[in-house]
Amino acid sequence: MSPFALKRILRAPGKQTVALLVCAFLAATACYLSAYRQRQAQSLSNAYDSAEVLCVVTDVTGTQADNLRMGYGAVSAVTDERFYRLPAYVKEPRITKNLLWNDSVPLIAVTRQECADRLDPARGGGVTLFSEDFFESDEDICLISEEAYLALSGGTVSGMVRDPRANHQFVKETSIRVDLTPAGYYRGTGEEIFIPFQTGMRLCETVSDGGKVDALSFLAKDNTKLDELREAASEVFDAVDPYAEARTHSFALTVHDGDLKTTVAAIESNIRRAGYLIPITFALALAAGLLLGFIATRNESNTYALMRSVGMTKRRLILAALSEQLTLPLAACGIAGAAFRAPIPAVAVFLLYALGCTVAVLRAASVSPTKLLREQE
Amino acid sequence: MEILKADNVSFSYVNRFQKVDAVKNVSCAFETGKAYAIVGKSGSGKTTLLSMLGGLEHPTEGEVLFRETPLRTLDCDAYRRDSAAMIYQSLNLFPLLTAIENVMYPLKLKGVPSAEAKKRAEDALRSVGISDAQFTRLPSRLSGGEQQRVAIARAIASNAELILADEPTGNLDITNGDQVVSILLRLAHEENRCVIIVTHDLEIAAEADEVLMMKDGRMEQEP
Repeated sequence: MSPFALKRILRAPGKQTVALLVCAFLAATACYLSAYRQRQAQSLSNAYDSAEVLCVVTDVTGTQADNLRMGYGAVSAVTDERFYRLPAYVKEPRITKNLLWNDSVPLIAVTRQECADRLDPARGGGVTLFSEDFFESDEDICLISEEAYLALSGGTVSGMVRDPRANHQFVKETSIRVDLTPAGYYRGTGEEIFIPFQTGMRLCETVSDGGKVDALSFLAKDNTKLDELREAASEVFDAVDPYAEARTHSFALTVHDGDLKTTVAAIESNIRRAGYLIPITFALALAAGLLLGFIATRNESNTYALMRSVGMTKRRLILAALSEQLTLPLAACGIAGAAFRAPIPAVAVFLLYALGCTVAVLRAASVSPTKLLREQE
Repeated sequence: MEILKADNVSFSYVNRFQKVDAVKNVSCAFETGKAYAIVGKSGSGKTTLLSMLGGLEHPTEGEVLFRETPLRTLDCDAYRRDSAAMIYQSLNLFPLLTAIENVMYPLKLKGVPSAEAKKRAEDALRSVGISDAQFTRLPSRLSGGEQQRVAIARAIASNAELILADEPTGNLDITNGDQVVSILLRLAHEENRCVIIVTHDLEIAAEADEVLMMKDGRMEQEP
């Protein structure tokens, strides 16, 4: 700093006020945009993490998702990583197999609560389980309605199980007798009986040909890799074609990612916009440094000439001029960075402003006092 | 005693349109205890010669010697801080510093402690007739004559052996001009300093011990 530099700044606050305001505005803008961009990036990450993209196996027309009678190979295609790429992108497979209980009551083997409306809280259902590992079990247990459970008062349900669509030419028995112990109940009334999927498959070995399943869906494991999921699925499933004729053993996979796509597109657009504006802010800081630096140093040229003539070195003059020009902008950028808790953009704005200012100061400091005197003469 | 010498110096510069030979083969010598006047019309090269004597410019040919040492080989910033004080027609004072701060400025540059710098500044200001009440005034609240006297006080406070004044009375009325000239002459004769005054006022020149005439960049009469 040159002697009395602080006094010179304080005695002419107006000279630095514009620089102070411009730097405060640009630093605040850069900090806000940077923080906004970070928040949007976090939102994007949250959207990918929290969104549940449901993938449903349908017939090739994409209109039917239940009673598909898929071979167990379709199940393997989404669960068996030894032979297929698709299972790497799959989580929470939801598989159902529809059977009949005493020729009239639906008996449904399920892998998860989300397989049926009555069980899934997200779709108005609800379930009370006595054992948390119900869905992983292969024992003869079941879920019945709360009303039926209360009427049963602790007993078991007994009946005949059969597969209504089995080709009985190929199965050992048309039906078998089973005693099911309630392992919980679902809310309200209803006659459906739900059993664990493994239990259902075990029963099917007797009453069904090939253990065919009726509905298959799952969630995408990683929502950022939906394209890879689609590509892996294309190795197993056909593309949806609304005009195709339904064919046996041909199935398609519909990925319900429309909402996610819309959300992601909006957030990415915001990130892109902030990405354009931040460099523009930085460029403005550089330009402001140049412009305000030139204006300030032009007005100070006599002072700089006098400083040189009283023996101030050129290097010290440059440092003195820079310190005078940059003290208040530094304070402005510091306050903006602290207020927005984003020091890096504030530092970048200050450095670019300082760069512009330095060019102006170097130019002013290089003018010789003699030249100024000569011009005056 | 010879303190400063210009040995066949020339200075050329290029302006927007052409090369200008501002000073051509000028030789002159200056002694302590004397006041010199360099006179000439505008554009005669007086200010350029003074800048070379002050070490602000180096001659394109020849040498300026301070105590027989070429300025080119000296630290010219230190030379101006310690040995040569410059006084201008109008570029004299820092507008945002008070009179006393203006005088203290070169002392602080030299690293003189504040208390000592203040004492020397006060003494120097009083010696040129600036009242204590004016010490804390900004230049804008001083008259032109007072501003010039503050500039001279700065030269006095810095103990410079050489005082180089460029049209020091150019903006002053006769009374103030006479006052400034008499102070400069007193510094030469009583304080044994070498005072070089660039002026186009022949009456001021008449009061100097020696007069150097410049015309078209050449010295017409050497001391």
